[in-house]
Amino acid sequence: MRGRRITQLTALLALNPYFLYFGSRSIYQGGMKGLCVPGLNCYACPLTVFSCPIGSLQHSFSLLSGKVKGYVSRGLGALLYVLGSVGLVGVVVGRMPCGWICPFGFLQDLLYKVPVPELRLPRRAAWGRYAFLLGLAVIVPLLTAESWFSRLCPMGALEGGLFLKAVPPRDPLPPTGWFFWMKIAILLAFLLWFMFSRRPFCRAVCPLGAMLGACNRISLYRMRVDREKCDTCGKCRKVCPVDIDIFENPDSAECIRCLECRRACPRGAITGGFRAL
Amino acid sequence: MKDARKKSRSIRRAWWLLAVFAVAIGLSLIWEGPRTVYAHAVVICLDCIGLI
Ligand code: SF4
Ligand code: SF4
Repeated sequence: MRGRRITQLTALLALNPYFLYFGSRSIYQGGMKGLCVPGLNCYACPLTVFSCPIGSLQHSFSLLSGKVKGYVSRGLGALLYVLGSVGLVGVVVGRMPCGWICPFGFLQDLLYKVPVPELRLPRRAAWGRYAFLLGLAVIVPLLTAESWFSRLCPMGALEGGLFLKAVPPRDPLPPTGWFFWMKIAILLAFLLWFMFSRRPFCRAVCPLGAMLGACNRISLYRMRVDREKCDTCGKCRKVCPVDIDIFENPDSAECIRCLECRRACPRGAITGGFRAL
Repeated sequence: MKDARKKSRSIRRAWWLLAVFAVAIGLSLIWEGPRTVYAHAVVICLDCIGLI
């Protein structure tokens, strides 16, 4: 197995190590649950010990909506904390956690290996993730105090919904209704899509990818393409999980800094590294 | 020469932003940011699992 796959697998286990759940049947309540990790890993998953930044972001805006009296200042505190946590990571490594840590990105990489014809996404699909960030993760919670991105999130359906149905917690859950099944249908549709397109969720939907990707242009870690060496042969694009020509724009907000292109380039034209360290 | 100046400006900008985000986390403590995130994370998020 290659280094990136080993890292992705290790990250999956490191983010979800709470196997004591199978005995206790109650989710982890320790202090680490207050830490937002830069990856889409549902905090309703019984095995996880961290927080989802997008779930927490929506919760901040729900509190800021003022619909729950006396919690607006806490909403501001949570918002500063979430933005600070994501921003710190973004300014140092940009979107690199997407390529190396995020379990949902890992799942997409694995499913794309299924040998079916490729369905290419148009470039403008990237606007989708900004729309989801602004619409479902910011504006809707601010207006309704409800977390609609979480309600539709396929990772929540997978890690939270299905898992908790299969291994229920000690305290009984509310009964399953049509909404639960709609969420499962959304999950199945995405899983199918992951086989045909390269990381479609990351490119067109994920609000966290939108936030981290915006940092690619300013981060300390940068990709570089030596124009003297690059002959635009396109071998980099063939292996790229997000289907981009890195030589066109090394700071692209799409790039998840997985470094697959660096390995694939026969001329050694692509490098990545920290600028000021 | 111009390139080097541009590069060092952008590195400085990154360090400034790093400081800004660190200050944001520091300020968040005043309004119990981490504790608010924690309190929400330790109950099963019914939104996330579709049992609303
Ligand atoms: S963009 Fe993809 S890899 Fe990055 S956080 Fe979102 S789901 Fe994970
Ligand atoms: S351009 Fe290179 S580093 Fe960026 S996502 Fe594609 S393969 Fe990975």
